[in-house]
Amino acid sequence: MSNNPMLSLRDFSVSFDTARGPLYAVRNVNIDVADGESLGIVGESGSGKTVLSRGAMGLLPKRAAHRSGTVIYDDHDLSQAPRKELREYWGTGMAMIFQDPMTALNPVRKIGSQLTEGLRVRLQMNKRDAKARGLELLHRVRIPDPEAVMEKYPFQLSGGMRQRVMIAIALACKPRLLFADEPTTALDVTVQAQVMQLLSELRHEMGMSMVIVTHDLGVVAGHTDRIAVMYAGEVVEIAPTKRLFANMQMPYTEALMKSIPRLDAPSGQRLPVISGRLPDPTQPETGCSFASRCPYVTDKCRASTPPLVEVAPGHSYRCWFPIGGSR
Amino acid sequence: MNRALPILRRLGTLLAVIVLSTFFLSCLLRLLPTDLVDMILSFGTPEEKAALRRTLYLDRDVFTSYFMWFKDFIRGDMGIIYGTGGGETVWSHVTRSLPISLIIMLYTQILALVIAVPLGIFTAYRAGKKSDRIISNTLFTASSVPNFALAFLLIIVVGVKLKWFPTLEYIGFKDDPFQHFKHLVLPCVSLGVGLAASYTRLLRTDVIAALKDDYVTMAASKGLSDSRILLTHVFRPASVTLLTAAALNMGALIGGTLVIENIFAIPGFGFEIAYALATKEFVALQSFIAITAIGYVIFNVTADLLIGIVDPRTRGSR
Ligand SMILES: Nc1ncnc2c1ncn2[C@@H]1O[C@H](COP(=O)(O)OP(=O)(O)OP(=O)(O)O)[C@@H](O)[C@H]1O
Ligand code: SF4
Ligand SMILES: [Mg+2]
Repeated sequence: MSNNPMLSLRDFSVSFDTARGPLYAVRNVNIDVADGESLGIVGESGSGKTVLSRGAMGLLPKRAAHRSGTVIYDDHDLSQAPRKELREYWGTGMAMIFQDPMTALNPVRKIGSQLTEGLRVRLQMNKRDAKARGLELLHRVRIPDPEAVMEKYPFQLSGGMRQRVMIAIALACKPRLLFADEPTTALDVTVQAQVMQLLSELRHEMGMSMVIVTHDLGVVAGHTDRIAVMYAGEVVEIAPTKRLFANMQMPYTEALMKSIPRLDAPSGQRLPVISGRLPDPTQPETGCSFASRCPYVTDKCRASTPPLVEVAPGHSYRCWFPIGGSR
Repeated sequence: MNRALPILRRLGTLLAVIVLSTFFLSCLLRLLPTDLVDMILSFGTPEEKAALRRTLYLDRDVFTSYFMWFKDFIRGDMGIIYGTGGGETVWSHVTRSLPISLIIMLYTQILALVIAVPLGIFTAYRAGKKSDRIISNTLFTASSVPNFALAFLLIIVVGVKLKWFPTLEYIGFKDDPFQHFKHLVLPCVSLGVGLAASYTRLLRTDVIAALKDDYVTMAASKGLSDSRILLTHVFRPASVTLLTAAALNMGALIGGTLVIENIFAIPGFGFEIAYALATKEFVALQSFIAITAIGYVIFNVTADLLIGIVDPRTRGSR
């Protein structure tokens, strides 16, 4: 195995054709995911996390979405690869846990068939082996009574069970890289922790790389090696997890940090939410994309776009007036 | 949840609809301007007339006579065709003509689905492109032509001018399979084009919606081939609406078939009804219409049950 990263995005951008002109959902992202690493991608709703992860896998609709830049997976450049070639990687090389397990599972097919079809098609298993492996997978994601669940339809399961089924499906063909798009958003808090724990365990067991996408920094804090903070389609800060929490530079990261729910806070206390809204992705502005909401904004921020600078190995950010620096 | 309950409830509804509609009919028969017995036996003796009155239960009150009629009806004893001198039973006419109509309806549905499934899927994948617009608009135009008008058009152009297909008569499958199908081409096309257009439109909408659904992307992310995704993930959920429409249209198709049979001189059930109407065979007509009503109800209930099988979400909940 080479020392190159398992996945490498260079200058990766995605735009959509919309009625209001091109929509820039992901802009010039550079991210590497090392073999066995767990990377968190954090940002509020609409910041481009789903588009980034689907774009990296090549799962965006070809007609509406325009990708540019390069995607290198396991030393293969997949940026221009036709769907037919990408399919070779899907399921076995890269797999995805989708944001909403209710819509990502086919409502009119049994769990069993949705779980085993990948095994049968991609790993050429026969019906019996696929079923046995399916049961084992359900067992592994801690689903009680797997036999019965195989015969059920998605609507007959609880949200937590559906999410576990999704995880089982994504892991079915032992992918080397797993994208987990908001794996816990649809769940309530106690189940959230369990599912994150499960994902971490499975990652270690299978030696998988993982990209965990979330809007909640708190969710990924204990489960990632590094975290990339996304804002308006850009990576605005990226650092090893510990370092990010101790030494954040970008005001947006700070704002996200303040919005993490704390268990020791008096109940009923409202979390500070970041006031204002994301800039319109169809109207790219000059200057820092966070300027309209940043408490530290100056004229310089509005006039020119801050570049991504590296403060320490593996820690970069985009801001003219970083929190750690002199202001 | 008890699975049998909804089915029982539906069967109850079925029975109620059949009883109400046939009871209504039997009341109508008493309201005819001329007395039914006088009409059938215009030159009969008073004794003969009294006997017939008893046979038809017209000497009883409305409820009793209806009950007696219904009892006979479900036993298959539907009286006789008086115009033929009393030699033929209504039941014999039913068994002769009904299968023909059912065959026409079946072929029409198959034809419509065979046209609609590929077109619906094709136009959905090409939504908004030129090929989609051409097909969708053509079908829309075709479906706005009433089927009897289409029938006349086909008879004139394809039948009389081009002489590709016969325009009259019915040939049984057992007598000559080739001629059987050849004779049914024009009637089924006349009936099926409008259906095909509406099925195509439904399927197109559903496939477009399904293609946008996450479960299709999810299926792709497993590395399945496009054709497999199309069949198992797109078409299956989309077919729920299609099947519903097809089953519900069986009822609507009854009316169209009755008209088309008369245009193409096919001795089906519609032909019998028209004939009974023209020759004032009201006794036969009552049974014919009761059978039509029963058919209508049965098709609709079957539609409901089928949907329950194809779409597990509705199972037991309705
Ligand atoms: N198919 C599409 N066509 C047009 N615009 C799209 C499409 N998919 C996403 N977008 C836009 O791209 C931007 C980023 O969306 P994305 O779904 O990646 O956000 P997200 O960070 O995943 O948010 P969330 O937390 O709500 O899932 C949004 O402005 C969204 O409206
Ligand atoms: S560049 Fe200016 S506006 Fe942007 S985050 Fe930094 S301080 Fe705020
Ligand atoms: Mg998302």
